[in-house]
Amino acid sequence: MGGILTSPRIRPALAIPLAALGVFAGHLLGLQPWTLLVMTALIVAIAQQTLP
Amino acid sequence: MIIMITRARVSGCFGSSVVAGAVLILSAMAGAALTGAFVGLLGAAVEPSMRALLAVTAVSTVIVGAALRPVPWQLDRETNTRWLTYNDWRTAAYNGLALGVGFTTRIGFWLWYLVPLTAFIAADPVLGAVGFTVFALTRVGLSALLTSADIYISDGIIRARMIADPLALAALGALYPILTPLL
Repeated sequence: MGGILTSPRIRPALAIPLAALGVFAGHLLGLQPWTLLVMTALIVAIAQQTLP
Repeated sequence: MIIMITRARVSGCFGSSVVAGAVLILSAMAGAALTGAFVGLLGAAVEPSMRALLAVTAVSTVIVGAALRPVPWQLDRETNTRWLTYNDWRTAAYNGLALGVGFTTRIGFWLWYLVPLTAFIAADPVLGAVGFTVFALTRVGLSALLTSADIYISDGIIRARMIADPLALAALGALYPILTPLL
């Protein structure tokens, strides 16, 4: 499964619908920059525990 | 990073690993708060339309980067190993500062770019400082907690990217509806 996201063909193909989904969700939910700031700060900081 | 924190904890800082841990976390939070406030001020310093234009350009660039490669643009290094030789409060303080600021060492995930981007778009030094502080406290605090419990997470970066990368792309996309009305 991890290989899917590293494939040079599949990765761009997945990126477009994901970004488009984000546009749609952002439009529907009326997200504010600070909510995204706090959420992403929290998630990336947790993910960084896996850094080598 | 784990090695650095472990050393920071046992560096003999006032003879107490608790003090060393506190110095590590507080310096991380201080460095992050200053960085976030600076980025927020940068956003506030430009007109909303110019801010939106700059941000749309940056967001689009990061989306293209994230679409093409799993490893983000980053400085591929850990914190300075010379800091380990100090064996005093500086080991923890310098490591904390570097890890809290974030971008001076490996960031690992495209999602990290959302932190400065959203701080810039928020255009508020207080919000920028709060966002970066949440990042620093979670990153360094959790690392210290895991290390003190002798828990090491290794080889999980690919699995973590499977969650973080789709989130990054969706979150980057979600910035467009915020920015386009300002253009």
